[in-house]
Amino acid sequence: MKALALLVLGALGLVLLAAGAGLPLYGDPTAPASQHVSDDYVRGSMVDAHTPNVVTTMIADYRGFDTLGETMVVFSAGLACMLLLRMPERGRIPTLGRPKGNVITDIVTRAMIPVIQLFALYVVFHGHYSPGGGFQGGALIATTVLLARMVLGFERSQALFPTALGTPLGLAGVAIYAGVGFVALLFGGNALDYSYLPLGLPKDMLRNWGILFVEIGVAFGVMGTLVSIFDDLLTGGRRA
Amino acid sequence: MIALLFVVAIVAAVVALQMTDLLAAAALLSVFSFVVALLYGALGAVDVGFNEAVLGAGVTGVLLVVALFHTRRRSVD
Repeated sequence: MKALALLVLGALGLVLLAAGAGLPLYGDPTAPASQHVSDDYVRGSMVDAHTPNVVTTMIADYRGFDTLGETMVVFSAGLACMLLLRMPERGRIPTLGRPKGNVITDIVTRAMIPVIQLFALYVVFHGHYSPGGGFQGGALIATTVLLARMVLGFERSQALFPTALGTPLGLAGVAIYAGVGFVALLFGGNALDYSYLPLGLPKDMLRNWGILFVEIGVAFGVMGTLVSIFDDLLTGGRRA
Repeated sequence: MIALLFVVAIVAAVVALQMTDLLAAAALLSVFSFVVALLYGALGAVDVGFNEAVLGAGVTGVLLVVALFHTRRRSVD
């Protein structure tokens, strides 16, 4: 069986290598991806949205509708895990209890968590200028909760982030994102056209702020969903 | 440099396949993801690399370990 699997994998690898030979060279200006709209995005990012990080503008502004869908996909994945994993009546959930408790790991974890969370906030709020944004920042905050769950134990880490908050936070994130789009719709623009947000700023700054609001929504959505998936996997829906 | 990263990634992936200790295999998959994240960074896709480092190397590894709580630690084949 294993030999067969390796054979299939090897064949698949060869197919991938053969297909990879047909890709354009790295950085090739005549590559199809560089031919159509990407030039406008690269040139327009600063003018349209006052955002030096083109990736952020592309994800949250030019292709904001795609990212709304992605946020919903992440949240739906959390809901699917909930449906599959939350079966408390089965009664075969291992007792989690309190881990043996090692002073060194405890203290290192407690020291690391605020630092990682601060960095995560920087990633979310500095996404206009540096790599990262809502997705990465939200995932980073979720990793601090996961770290606390693993090291300090399920019960003790409830004070950091209660299990019951995971799914509502994910939903709140999606709602924030969709809500920003809806406000733009209410004030006369297309959905997710942030230049119609009623903040009384110039158009490019409005889009700049709109990106930030949307990124915060993504961060909430990703964080709540990741923690809820982890908790469902760990406890099968049992409450602390 | 990039070729070296490719070699490390492939070696990590193949060794992870051969492991019978699934906890070690999960750790190796995290190593694989981290090397791939470095590759993305080396190729200039910093945002994608950031994602891969946080989700692939961080969260996925933790989820695999938690899934191992519910099953056996050694694979049979």
